Amino acid sequence: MIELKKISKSFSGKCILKDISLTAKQGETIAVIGPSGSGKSTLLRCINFMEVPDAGTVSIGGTILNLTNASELRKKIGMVFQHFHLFPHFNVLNNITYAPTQVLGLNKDEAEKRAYQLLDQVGLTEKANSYPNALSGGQKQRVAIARTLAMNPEAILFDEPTSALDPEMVKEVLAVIRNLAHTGITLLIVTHEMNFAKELADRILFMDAGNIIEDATPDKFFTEPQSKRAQRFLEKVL
Amino acid sequence: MTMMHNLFESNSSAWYIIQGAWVTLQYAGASTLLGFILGIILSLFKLSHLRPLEYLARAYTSIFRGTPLLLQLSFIYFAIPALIGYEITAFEAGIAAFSLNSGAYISEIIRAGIQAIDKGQFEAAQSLGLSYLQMMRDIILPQSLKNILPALVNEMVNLLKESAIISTIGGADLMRRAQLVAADEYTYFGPLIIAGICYYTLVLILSSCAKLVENKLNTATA
Ligand SMILES: Nc1ncnc2c1ncn2[C@@H]1O[C@H](COP(=O)(O)OP(=O)(O)OP(=O)(O)O)[C@@H](O)[C@H]1O
Ligand SMILES: [Mg+2]
Repeated sequence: MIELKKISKSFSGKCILKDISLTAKQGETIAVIGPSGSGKSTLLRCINFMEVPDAGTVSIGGTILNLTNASELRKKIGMVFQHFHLFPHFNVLNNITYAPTQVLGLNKDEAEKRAYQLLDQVGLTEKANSYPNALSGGQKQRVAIARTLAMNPEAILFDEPTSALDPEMVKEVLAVIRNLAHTGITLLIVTHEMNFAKELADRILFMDAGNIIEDATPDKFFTEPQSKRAQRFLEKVL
Repeated sequence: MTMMHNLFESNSSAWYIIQGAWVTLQYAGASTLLGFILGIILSLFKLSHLRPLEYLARAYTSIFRGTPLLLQLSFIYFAIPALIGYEITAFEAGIAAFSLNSGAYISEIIRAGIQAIDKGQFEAAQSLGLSYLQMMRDIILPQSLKNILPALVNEMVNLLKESAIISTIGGADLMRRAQLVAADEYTYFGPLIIAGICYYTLVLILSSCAKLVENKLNTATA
């Protein structure tokens, strides 16, 4: 379970997150949407202390994050980036096995066995020995998801996982994410794919100017958004 | 060989000079290696966001880049032993001065190399729960190393050439040997030409080895 209490964050005096509170139940799938610059990425990055909030607390499974335990708790929280950030000097297999062996202390055989299962899951078994720059964007993102899953995380934070992809590759990545929903892993997904959010999410968070101004089921949010801002946003994107 | 006979009294003096190439190579090799290790530590200090370490590393770099190598060498060979009453050999003084000096330069090369790595690599590493040491050792430094290899080789080439000043304190390197032979045989031309060829050959070998490694690294990730 992830719990944020009154999180605030400013960059050079500009307030980006304002007193945000949020609880994500274990296994929940939450889509975060909102206009550019509204603080979606910052919110996500506060959850694993990639950004340290100026005020408020983040707790993961009841433990409050601080600078000392952040790296420990990050093992339980995966993150998938818009631009993948695979390790270019490792092949696909090593990208996936590195953290489990080095951070979790799995032995090489176990880690590789698990990696092949995950590669199978994301449909890239035959790419195990390729290097990242030989992969398409969609393939890279699927490897990045496999790399995150290899840590057996309790939650995964997705920051616009398909925004850097060509349209024909969006589908293959969304399909992989879709299969993760409701398997017990908590998913927080910042996305501009409204249909995907509508179909997959248990909850939609709508952010604007550093606030979560709507927190509703997809049905409710997409059919009768409460705020003017959400209404205007939906008119533009739908 | 006939030319040699014209320029030297014996082949053995040419051979004596050429053997100095090995000595020079030892200076350059050992100093680059030690300088590299020192450079990594200093560059991590500079990027550590811990003020005292940052300042320490910056002051160090500034001083070693801002004073002549010859002065540093003399200081280590003459001044410090006089102060603490412990004799050191010319070889030790040379290695110490060149390592400390190249550490300053290499730390700047490495710092730039680390800063050139995409921020996303740090974030990906952190999000997987890697420790700082794991992140730097296995993710960041290997990638920067590939980019800074040409600059590092350049630094080693510089060291190789600048190590000639070891001759001023009596280290038996290429330059010193050429001078000894020259003084002995009352001719500078031959000995200096031989030494020059040796320096140049070492530099060429070094550069082409670096090219090979570079190509290998490039194909490995391509
Ligand atoms: N490290 C930082 N330093 C300074 N300003 C930052 C930093 N990170 C984010 N910001 C600023 O905070 C604001 C919110 O950024 P954030 O990335 O959270 O928005 P977002 O909702 O994810 O937008 P987008 O949809 O464009 O990704 C932006 O104006 C951005 O310029
Ligand atoms: Mg963003």
